[in-house]
Amino acid sequence: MAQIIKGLFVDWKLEIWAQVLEIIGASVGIISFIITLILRRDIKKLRVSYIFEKRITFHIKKLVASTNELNNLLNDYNNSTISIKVELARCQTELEDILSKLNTTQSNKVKRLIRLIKGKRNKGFLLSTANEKNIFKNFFRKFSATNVDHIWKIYTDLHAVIRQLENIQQDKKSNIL
Amino acid sequence: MSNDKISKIIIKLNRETKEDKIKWVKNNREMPSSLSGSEGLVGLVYYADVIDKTLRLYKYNFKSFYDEVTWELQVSIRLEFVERFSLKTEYIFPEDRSIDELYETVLYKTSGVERFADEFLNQENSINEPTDDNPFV
Repeated sequence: MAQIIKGLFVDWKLEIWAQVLEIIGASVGIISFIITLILRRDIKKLRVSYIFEKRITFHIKKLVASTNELNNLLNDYNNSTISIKVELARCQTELEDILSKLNTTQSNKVKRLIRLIKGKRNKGFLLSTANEKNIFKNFFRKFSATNVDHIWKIYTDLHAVIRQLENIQQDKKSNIL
Repeated sequence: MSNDKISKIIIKLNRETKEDKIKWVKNNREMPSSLSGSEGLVGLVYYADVIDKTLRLYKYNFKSFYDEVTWELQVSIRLEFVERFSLKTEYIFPEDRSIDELYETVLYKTSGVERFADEFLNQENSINEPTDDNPFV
């Protein structure tokens, strides 16, 4: 080490200067490369958060509109079964769209709700006034058809999903800040 | 209490209101004691008795300030437990989207729109035929 310092500042050997500057140059290059990678990752994260923020607000608005509509339709369930089916189809599409923007742990609730809607939407709708005297037929109907309880379950789960999305949105906002 | 539990309570209140298991009554004389500061009542106040509790539901507006001089009037809905006789607030439910939908259901039920629709649409001769006296019906 002492020899190098002597060579650099006393003897002014150009070969040693060249070697030292080469090492410094290479180190600066490596450090710059690492900083670039970190910045690139952060910018990408910011971009993804920004897009998520923009899109998720839109999705939440759509889902809130669906809960409002379902709430109105439930005022007269027996005469609104077709409209309820249409609204459920709209919800399913919206939820499938959201699913691609969530990670595995975040998406469980959404997946469960999609499965529930898929399972109930295409079945026959049982009117709330329908009352089958035969207990076996009643039991069979309960499992084969969609009734008002299923729609309330979907409505409740939809509210839970909206709350979860709003929480994710808040978490992302605080991470950016 | 968790937000999920609160939401479930409000959704159950909503469902039982639609199914006429819970009856809400309008009151336009009492000013809710929970209104404070710049908050003002919008519309009527609704009361319902559920188990051993009295619930109060109302819409109110308030000034939301951006800075010292700029503000915007916003509207929100409050659901609370009140003491049965004095009507003083016991507990205010946290804000939740499902309260808005409960309010919509309460308006729908207390307005009597269902009864009106049934009576009006079943009314005979509800559409007047043109007569010599009044040809422009």
